Amino acid sequence: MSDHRFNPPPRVTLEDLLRLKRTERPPAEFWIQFERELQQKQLAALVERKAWWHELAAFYSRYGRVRAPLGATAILALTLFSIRYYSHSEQDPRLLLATGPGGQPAARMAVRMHDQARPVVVAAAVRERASVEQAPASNGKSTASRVAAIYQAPAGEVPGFIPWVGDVMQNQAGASGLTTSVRSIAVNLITASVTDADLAEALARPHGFEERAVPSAHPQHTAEMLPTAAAAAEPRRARLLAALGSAGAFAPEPSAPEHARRSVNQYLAQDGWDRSMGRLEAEGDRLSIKF
Amino acid sequence: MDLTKVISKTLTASPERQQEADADWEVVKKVQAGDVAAFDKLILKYRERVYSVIYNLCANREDAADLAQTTFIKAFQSINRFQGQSSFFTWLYRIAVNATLTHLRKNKLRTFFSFERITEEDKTSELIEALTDKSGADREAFVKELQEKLNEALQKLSINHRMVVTLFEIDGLGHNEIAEIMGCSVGTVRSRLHYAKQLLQADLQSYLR
Repeated sequence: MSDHRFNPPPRVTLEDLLRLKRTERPPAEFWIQFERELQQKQLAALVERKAWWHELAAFYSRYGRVRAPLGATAILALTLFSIRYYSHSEQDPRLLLATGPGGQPAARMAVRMHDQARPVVVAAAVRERASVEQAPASNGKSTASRVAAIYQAPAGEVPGFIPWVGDVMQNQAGASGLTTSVRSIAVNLITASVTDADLAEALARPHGFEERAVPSAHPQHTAEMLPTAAAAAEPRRARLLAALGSAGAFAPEPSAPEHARRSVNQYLAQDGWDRSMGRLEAEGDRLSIKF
Repeated sequence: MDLTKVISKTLTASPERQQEADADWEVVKKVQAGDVAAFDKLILKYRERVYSVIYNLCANREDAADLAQTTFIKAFQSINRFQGQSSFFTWLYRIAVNATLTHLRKNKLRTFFSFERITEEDKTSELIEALTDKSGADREAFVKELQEKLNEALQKLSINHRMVVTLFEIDGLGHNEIAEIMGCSVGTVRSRLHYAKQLLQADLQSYLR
């Protein structure tokens, strides 16, 4: 009989089995190769250029103790800068691009937005439209220069070619300058009152797509032909105004949304739009017209 | 070094570990001072342990060699960031474990096993004697089969469970050290270890007596 019967095999646990894994060891020659490869990789790593964020990480780890206050200061500074920047940009003069019929931007003008809303009586201004229509012919100034004069007018002064604004100003007790609404209305009325020749020239000027697609277009041909056309003036004028409106020649109310500007342009393009006007209200820098 | 870290290290680490950590810290300070050759001492000291951890996690000797080299290069590159807040070997293990985790996640669908051979003297160990009464070629075949089953069972575990088992049972680290390396609580380490052992026990039932 063997001893096996009297000596049962020792108990084998999971821990014993797992300990067997420790015996899985690489041979000695493995480490020679390992060493050689590691040296090559180390040299390659030394030669390799580090990215800039590695330096940043090293900097932060070096100054680990001040990391939190440093980060908090950076965030605070960024927040303060953002607040200051945006509040400053709201108060700053806003650049407005007015396009003249000459094909080039008429002028880049700084329009100071009024901080306080002031009551404006614009009804008188609308009624004075007829006098505005005659103004360009009388003083002989171009539309572009008149538009520029409106925006560059100093506080308290009103350009002479828009006499109706003088009435408006008289109605504004203590007013020191033109409001944004008055300026916008004045620019639109001046644009609407340009001559057919100016309109044709403005339309012949390439707008966007035409400028890119047809770079060799000669706008002067259209400018010469349209004024000499014998067709009835008023319907054509309406069409030209509508086209000019859609081309963005009118100076829009800065705060008016796109669809509002579009509908205003459409109404302005119709004959006798001022007669169909039902209600006109002005409050501060806002003007609401109901047709 | 933070006072709290020092206290916690003193309380949790064994005197041998503490001595080892202090010795490593001296070498690290030399490397940080510009003595690059001093880093070779650390490589020689830890290469087998680092390799073993990685090998037991990915079960591929070529990948393990590659990742172990990457670990040492990463450690060398960022040695200046090591401030001695933990022991060097914990820090090195963390680099190794993170590199292995990234590798395993990246190659989730591509798994090739290649195992180290169990040394001859281990084939005649008490454990093998207890498991089989075979000898010669039969014993060789049995050991090979056992090794495959063992690795297979380990690879069935999730990465986190496998890591806990590897670090605790094979590398002999303590719960605290594993928690520090894995960035989790000691309780999590214990529960993961318990669950992983249950799974392994069920899988290797036929070899257990």
